[in-house]
Amino acid sequence: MTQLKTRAIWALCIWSLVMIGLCAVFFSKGGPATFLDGELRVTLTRALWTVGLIVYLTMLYLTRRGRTSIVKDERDELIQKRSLVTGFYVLLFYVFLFSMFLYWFYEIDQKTAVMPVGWIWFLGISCYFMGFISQAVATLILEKRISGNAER
Amino acid sequence: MPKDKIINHVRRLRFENGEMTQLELADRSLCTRQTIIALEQGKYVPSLTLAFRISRVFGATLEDVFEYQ
Repeated sequence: MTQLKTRAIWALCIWSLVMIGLCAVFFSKGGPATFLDGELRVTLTRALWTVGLIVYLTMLYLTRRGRTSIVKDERDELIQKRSLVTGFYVLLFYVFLFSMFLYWFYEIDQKTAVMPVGWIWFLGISCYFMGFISQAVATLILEKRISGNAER
Repeated sequence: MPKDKIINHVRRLRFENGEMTQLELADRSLCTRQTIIALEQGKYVPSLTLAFRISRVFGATLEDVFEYQ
């Protein structure tokens, strides 16, 4: 297994767990309406982010390879480039869908212009996690399916 | 528009060169074994640089290793 694939699997696991944790904290005890009322839940999400980042950086360190063997070549670089672009578009689509959902829910369904500001916190912090998740998924799909040509 | 197809004879050449392993070829042509696997299965077309490096390992010309159809 290449270093790229190993790291993508680990990144997917780490950031998915963090994302699940964020959703659990955000939607518990009153959900978005009460999210910013106390410090506890905000602190918990900050802790989740910090732990996720530390585990992720540790994983990067542990999955480094020695200098004797080839770790990354042109195929890996191609996958990396494509997954970065794919991940970026997925992230854009996520923000678009999320914003449209909020608009639909509060403006059309609930007929109110008042939206809990906690949603913005959630959107902001989940974008960070989604960036890692979407890139990891794209890397794994490309790694499996790559049948295209190298850079010409 | 017809799709370009590039086939290669890497697998055959490996066996003709003392049953060279994929890892050995990968190391000598400065790429990963996964790239050699993808190449042999026709899932990846290498850059010109890598194609030349692989050809050089076999002591063959580019046309001996890769074929444009």
